[in-house]
This record gives sequence, C-alpha cells and structure tokens, in this order.
Amino acid sequence: MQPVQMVDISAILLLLSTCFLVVNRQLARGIVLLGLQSMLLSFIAVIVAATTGIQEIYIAALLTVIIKGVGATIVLGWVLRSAHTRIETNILSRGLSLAAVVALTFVGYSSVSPDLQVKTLFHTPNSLPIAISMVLIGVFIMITRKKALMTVIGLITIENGLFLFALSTTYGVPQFVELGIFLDVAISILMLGFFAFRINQMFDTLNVDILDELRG
Amino acid sequence: MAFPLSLLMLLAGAISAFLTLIISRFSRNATFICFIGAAGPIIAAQSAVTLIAQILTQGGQFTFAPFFFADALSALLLGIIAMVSVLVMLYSIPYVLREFHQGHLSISQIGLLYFWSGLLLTTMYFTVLCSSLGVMWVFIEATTLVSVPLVGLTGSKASLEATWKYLMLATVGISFALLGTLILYASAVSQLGEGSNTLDWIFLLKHASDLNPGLVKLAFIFILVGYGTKAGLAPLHTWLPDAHSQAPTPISALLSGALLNCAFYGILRLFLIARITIGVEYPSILLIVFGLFSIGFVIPFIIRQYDLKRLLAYSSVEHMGIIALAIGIGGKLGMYAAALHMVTHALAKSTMFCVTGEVVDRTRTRKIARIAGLSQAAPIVSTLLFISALAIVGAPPMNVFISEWLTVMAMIVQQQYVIAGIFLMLLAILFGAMLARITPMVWGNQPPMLGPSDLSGIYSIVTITADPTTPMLQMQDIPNTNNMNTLSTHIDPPIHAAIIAPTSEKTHHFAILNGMAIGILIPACTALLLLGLWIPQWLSFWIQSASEVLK
Repeated sequence: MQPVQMVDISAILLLLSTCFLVVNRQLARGIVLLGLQSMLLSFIAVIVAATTGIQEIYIAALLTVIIKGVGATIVLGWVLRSAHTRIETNILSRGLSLAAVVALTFVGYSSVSPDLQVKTLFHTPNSLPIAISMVLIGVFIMITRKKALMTVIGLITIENGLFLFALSTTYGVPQFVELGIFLDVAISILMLGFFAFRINQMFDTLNVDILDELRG
Repeated sequence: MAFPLSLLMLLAGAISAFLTLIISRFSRNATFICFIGAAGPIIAAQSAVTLIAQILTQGGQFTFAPFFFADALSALLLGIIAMVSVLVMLYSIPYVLREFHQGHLSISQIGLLYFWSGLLLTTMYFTVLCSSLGVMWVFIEATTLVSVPLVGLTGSKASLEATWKYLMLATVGISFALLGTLILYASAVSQLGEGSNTLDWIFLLKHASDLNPGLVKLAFIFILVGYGTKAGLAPLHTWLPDAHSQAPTPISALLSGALLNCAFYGILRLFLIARITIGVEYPSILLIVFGLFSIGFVIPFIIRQYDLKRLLAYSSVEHMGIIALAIGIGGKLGMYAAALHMVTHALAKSTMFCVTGEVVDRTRTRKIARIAGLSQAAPIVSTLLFISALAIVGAPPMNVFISEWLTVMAMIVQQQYVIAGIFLMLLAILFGAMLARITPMVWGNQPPMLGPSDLSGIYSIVTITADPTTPMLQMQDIPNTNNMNTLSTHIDPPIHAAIIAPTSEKTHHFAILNGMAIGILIPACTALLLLGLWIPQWLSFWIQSASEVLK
C-alpha cells in the first residue's frame, strides 16, 4: 500500500472513530475512542514523517501518543472513577446526532479550497476535509453533551482536528511552535481534568448544565 | 539591537511566583508572602518601563532573540501591563491581608494567588514581545491557562462555575485562533516557501501583498473570532462577566485591565497584515460590526445589573467594543483614539475594580440594591467610587471622554455619520445606565447612617442582614428601630449599615490595611482626574508612537 493511501485510510478511520464518539453514550467507551483517535493521528504523523523524512514530525507523533493518547486517558479515567455516572444523557437522539455529523462532514468536504493543499506530496482527497470536519464535530460534541467529561473529549477532538489540519496542509508547524502547542494542550488537559473532578466533588454530578447560577 | 537583560528582568514576576509558592508552604506569615509575591511583578514592571524607554527612544522594530521582537505597539501593551500590574500588586497587599484576617483566604490560597498572578503577568509580557504569530498563540493560550486557577481561587460553587465556563469558552475560542494561524501559515508557506521565520510577523508584513487573499481573509475571520472570544467581544463574551466577577478583586482588575488588551493585541497584529493583503475595507467592517454590537449588546445587562462587579465586567465588554470600533474606523485619528482608549480604559477599569474591592469590604455585599448612602458612611471610598465611575462612563473631565470623543471625530473625518450617530446614542444610554446604578450607592438615603465618618479610616461597616457572622467585628444594635421595621418589610432589604467603633487590636490592624488601600487608590484616582486635563509629553509620545504603527 502506498503511504498516501495509508494516510487516507487512517483519516477515514479517524472520521469513523469520531462518529462513534458522537453516537456513543458510555463515558468509558468515549475515553477509549478518544485514545484510539489520538493513536490513529500519531500513526498518520509517523507515516508522514517516514515519507517526507522530516524528523520533527516523529517528535510530534510521540508527543501526541504521550499527551493526547496516554495522558488524556489517564486523567479522564481518574475523573470517571471518582464519579458515579457512567452514561451520558444526551440532549439529542442518536439519529439526530448522526444526521448532524453527516451534515458537518459535508461542510468539511465542501469548504476545502485547493489553495489550502500546500504540500503536494500528499494530495490525499480525504485528510484535509476530515480535519475540518473533526473540528466542527468537536464543537458539536461540546455543545450537545451534558457531562463535563464529554465536553473535554469534544475539546480534545477539536485539538486533534487542528493537528491533522496542520499535518495535511504544511506537515505541521515550526518545531518551536509545535512544542509550545503541545505544552499548552498538556496543561489544559490537566486543568480540565482537575476542574471536572472539582465539579463532581462539589455538585456530586458531572452534569455541566447545573452550572447555571450566574446569570444576567 | 539586543536587550537580553531587560527581557530576563521581565521574568522577575515568574521567579517571585515560584518563591511565594514555596514560601507559602513553610511560612505562616501572610504579610511576608504578600510582599514577596507583589515584589516580583513590580520589579518586572520597572524593567518593562526601561524596555519601553529604549524602544521609543530608538524607534522602529527590534529583534532581540530568535522569537522576540518589539515595536511601538508592543511598547504600548508593555506599558499597559506594567501600569496595571503595579496598581494591582500594590492594592493586592491590603486586600489579601484583610481577606486573610477575616478568614476568607487561607495561606495556601494566598500563595496560589501570587503564584498564578505572577505567571499571568509574565506570560502577558511575553505575549506582546513575540515575533512569531505561532509563539504568540502559545503565550495567549498560556495566559488563559494560568488565569483559570485565579478565577476559581475562592473555591465557591459560583467561582467553580465561572472557571469552567471560562476554561471551556476561552479554550475553544483560542482553538479557532489556532486554526486561523494555521491557515495563515499554509498561505505563507505556499507563497513564500518554508523557513523558520515563516510565521514571523515582520516577515509576513513585508510580504503581505504576496499572500493569498482568500486564505488571509479566512485566517482573519478565524483569528478575530478566536482572540475576540478572549478579548470579550460580544456575542462571544458570555464567559467574561462570570469570570471577572468571581475572581478575587485585584485579579478582576488585572483580567479586565490588562488581559483583555493582550488578546486584542493578537487581533491587531493580524489586522495589520490582513489590510495589506485583502484591503482595509473588509477587516474594518468586521471590526466595526463587532464593536458596535459589543457596545449595544451590554446595555440591557447594565441597566438590569444587580452585582457591582458584573456591572464592571459588562462595562469592559463595552470598552473593548469601543476599541474595536475605533480601529475599524481607522485613519490617523481613529488609531490614536484606539491606542489612547486602551490605556485609559486599562487605568480606569483597574482602578474602579480596586475601589469596588473597598466598597465590598465596607459593606460586605456586592448587590447594588443593598448598598446605599456610602457618601455619609464612607466619604473617601464613595468619592473614589464616584470619580472612577465618572472615568468609566466617559464623563467630560476624564480621559475616557477624550478617547471616545476622538473616536467620534475620526468617524466624522471618515464621513461615517450613521455610525457616529449610533455610537453617540449607545454611549448616551450607557452613560445614563451606569450612573443610574452607581449614584444610588453613593447618595441613596435608604439605610440609617450612624456614628462618625470613616475619615480617619479606623471604622468598618458591617451589614446586619448580609453576613452577621463576620468574626472579628462586634456588631452594634441599630438604635433607629422604627426605620428598621419599615425596611424589613422589603423583599430584598437594603443594608442597614452600622458603623462599629474600634474595640480590639484586630480592628486596629484593619485600620492600617484600610488606610493602605485608600493610600494606593487616591493617587490612582487623582491620575484619572489629571489625565483628562493634561497628558504629559512622554505619555502622548508613547501613545502616538503606537498609533503610528497602526496607521
């Protein structure tokens, strides 16, 4: 199999795992799916690194595994263990969620301009539209979910989409910026985990829609 | 031109941050911790001023280290951060100690407050000194991450709610800004080739006309929405009133006065590139729409506001809107007005937040409806409150008035009469709405005022209804029982302010702290008054140079 095809297939798998994330209601499975998503992403990064010979992308791939794969799973798993809830009470039905995901994917595909495909080595038809779709689906997850844990998962999905976007347009960003972004992501995952834990501790629930006292 | 020493000195805030964190583990002496925590940021502010002087006297752009550069616009922001940080750090000492002695803050919380605020100031300084737009993104995201624990510092349910909303919305917003930066990078790489300086602002500005207009337009929209969320432009501001009202008061001053401007700085840098690539029309219209919307959107919230700190937070949204509007109008005058407004709003808003801290301390409530007649009970505090309120609404002798007036002038020069009309109308409504909330607090005659004034600063007021358990202060019965009965029939009774004579040594301790707070705030309010009448040469040169960059 050509590296280009491998990237393409992995990107489609990424989209599929994100779709599963949307219809899924088990919080534990959501964490696993997020970990899978991050692993697929770093797999894409490794292929790109191997093909282009840019060493820096290996580091990015490694950091993706450590921070978004292992780190996020550990932090979110810790939050989940401290909570009573195991199941997401979605405000949208599965059918509607899936319809929304299809629509968002369509938006992703239709909004890609050829100008964005800067590096011609990987002219994959799917990775860039999927990156944009992932960002949109991440926002969708954050809006429609009630559990703090799922909003965090939506946020990391957005970050993953952005990383795929950078990979498929320009093979990532300059290394100094890349490391800074990973540092920020790592700290934000820790903070999100910590404050989700505090919400559970203080309100005895992971539902964020109880946070509605501050108004006006 | 290299200034590595000044750059290193800016790290003083971070160093003192770590020191306070360590000391607060071992020491029980709150005063000591406060002074250590406040010292670092003040040293950093001093070196920032040195840096500004060097930038301004030599003019142009400087690249110090690989990722750092400065021009007059950076100097403007450096100065704003330095100014706000000195005021806030000085004020934080009496504020924090008073909260500590009243049992609202623990030693470890004080340590954390100075730890995160020291880091916040350091990340803000480096945000405005970045040459690479990517590194700038990293620092702006870092300012979010280090300010989140400050919002949640008190650990109450409301502060946790505010923290969560802030963390979520700011992070999503910032992600969009990253998407915008990535699009800009893609455009730069395709047109100019790849290099370590491809995201460098000076490099991009030089080659801005070669960039792909479609992509730059897209990048600008994403960055405006992204950093706009962090700068509190409506309708993306929903986290702001919560976060700025739940943070400890000195932190609110820091967030409203300095941090919002830092986020806006991110928009400005891209605006300067975008207007070359896609023409000035499109970005300007976006800024004008966001600006007017921000000013108009907050009006109902200000009219019906019940919480003093939320009132100020909404006013920050309004003022960020005015800055966006002035930039959008553009021209020499518009840019000068915007730069001036950034400075004056930062000074006025941080002062007003600190004064609010005093008001809340004297009345132990933030509910506007429950505060009345401060002018009799606490004449100095109420005078400071009224001066800073006049400054915030842009009353004529004050400097905010001048920058708002210059904005209108810029609109007339640019022949944007419709926008000028809408702007003036909105300002008039806001003027009335804000003062309608503030004046009853100063002059309202509802609660019975007892005893002598606080002129000597040794009296504290305690509300009977709000928080009767304030431990150190002894409560005195209200003699006017007749009045008390009539008031208690109200659903949400206004406060019965009673002035307690000093009885113990602890009260004397509060007298020193109150006096210290007042002593810091009087010069700040005097500066607010004087700046409207006379802007010193060096100050106008500083603002003028920044507006030259924007022009």
